Amino acid sequence: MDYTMANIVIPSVKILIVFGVVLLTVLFLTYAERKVIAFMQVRLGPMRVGPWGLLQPIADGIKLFLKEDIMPTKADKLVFFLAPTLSIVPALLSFLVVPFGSETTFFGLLKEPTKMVISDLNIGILYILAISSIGIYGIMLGGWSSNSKYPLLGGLRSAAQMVSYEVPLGLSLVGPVLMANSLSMNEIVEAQKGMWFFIPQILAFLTYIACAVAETNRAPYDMPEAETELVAGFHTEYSGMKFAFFFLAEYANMIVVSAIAVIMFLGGWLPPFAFMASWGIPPVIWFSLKVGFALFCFLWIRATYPRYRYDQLMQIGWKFFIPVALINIFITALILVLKG
Amino acid sequence: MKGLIDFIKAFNYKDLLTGLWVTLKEFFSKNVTEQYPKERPELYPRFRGRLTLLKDEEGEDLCVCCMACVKACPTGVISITADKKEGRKTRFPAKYDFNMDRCIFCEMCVESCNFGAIGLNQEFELAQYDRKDFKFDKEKLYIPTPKVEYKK
Repeated sequence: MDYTMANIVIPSVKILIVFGVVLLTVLFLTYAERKVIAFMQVRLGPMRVGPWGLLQPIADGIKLFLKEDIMPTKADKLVFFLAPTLSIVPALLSFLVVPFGSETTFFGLLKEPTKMVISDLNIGILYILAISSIGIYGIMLGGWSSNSKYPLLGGLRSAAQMVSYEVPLGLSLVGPVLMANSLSMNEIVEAQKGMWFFIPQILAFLTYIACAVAETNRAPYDMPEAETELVAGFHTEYSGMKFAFFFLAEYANMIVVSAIAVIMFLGGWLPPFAFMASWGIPPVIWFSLKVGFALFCFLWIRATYPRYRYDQLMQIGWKFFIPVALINIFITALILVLKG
Repeated sequence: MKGLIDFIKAFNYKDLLTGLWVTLKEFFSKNVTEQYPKERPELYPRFRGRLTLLKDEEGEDLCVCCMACVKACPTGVISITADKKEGRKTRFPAKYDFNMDRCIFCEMCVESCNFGAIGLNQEFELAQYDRKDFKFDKEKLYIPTPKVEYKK
């Protein structure tokens, strides 16, 4: 394999595929959300655009694209313009280190198999935590620069919430990292061959799920948006494509945290039981199924629970999740040390 | 320690799980939505639609102009002009005017009729573009309400 092939062509193709797949998934995640919630409320959901309303997300996209782009007169123009970009770029950048499967030859196109990850960083999980923190700036700046009271409140809330929940989120990922003895996503998955980490790390897993919902601003932790009290929170003043960017970022973040949950706790692309490996189902299918299930749980939670009160949210974050995550780290470390 | 246990209990984890179970059950249950213009609702036989005049097997009016329906109608939307003709023992309605404008679909007229000469049909899409279309004369009462399709 020569230099150009290995360093330019293959990564570019991978980037294009991942970008396309992620954006398509995000588009149809909005459809899936409406459909799942509708079914849980014994309704049908979107039915009119295309068969079973399947073209609804495309129609929505076209509508948002053609809409007039309104900029409030008193808004801080540059920051107002920058905020949606700042929130979607980190969300998409996170997919750089997500391994979708073990190895592939692109259906026999390549002579040697290549890893199904754009870049196998040896600090993959650290990179994701760092990048996803930047996404908060988009929301904060969007709320601040709108120069309006509801977005400001939404921005403040989201800043407080995300700073609080970043801590237990990071701490809950330390357990699997300790067990795998590596920060690389690939090696963490390989370490789960015997047993998925969510069994020994059940405390960390539950903490991670709760914090991930809070981190992506989803119900029941959707404080920054809170339609009933803050109109739409930080994106009240946004319309058209800028609003769409915020929307896409939220759903892309959902996919990112689901993918991390699958990789860190649910065995990534590994089949549920060792004997299923001989069935010949590609690893990428296992991975997609698991991520799909995690996303369904997100929608399921949204359809079930009402929103937390703001002080309760903070109380749970600082007084419960952080101690639990710390206890989990302590126990894991102790057991690993005793085992030698 | 007791404080911690109380705090964990404050989560009401049983209630949380019950909530998830309820939504999951509804997720797999049948939807109640009716795609209205495509799917028509199933009406009960007792449904009270628009007033119709009924005929017997020979195509003769069953109505004998006893005026019971006119008297029974609380809003007074029925008016009948009686007439006689050869070969028929009873009177027959030369005019039978029904004004759906003020009809309250109470079915009093049908109940008061001793001859089974009128009935309420199963029509429920009775909206019209013009007030004059609410006035039904004898000929229009036999047939279903004509639909006027307006185009842009």
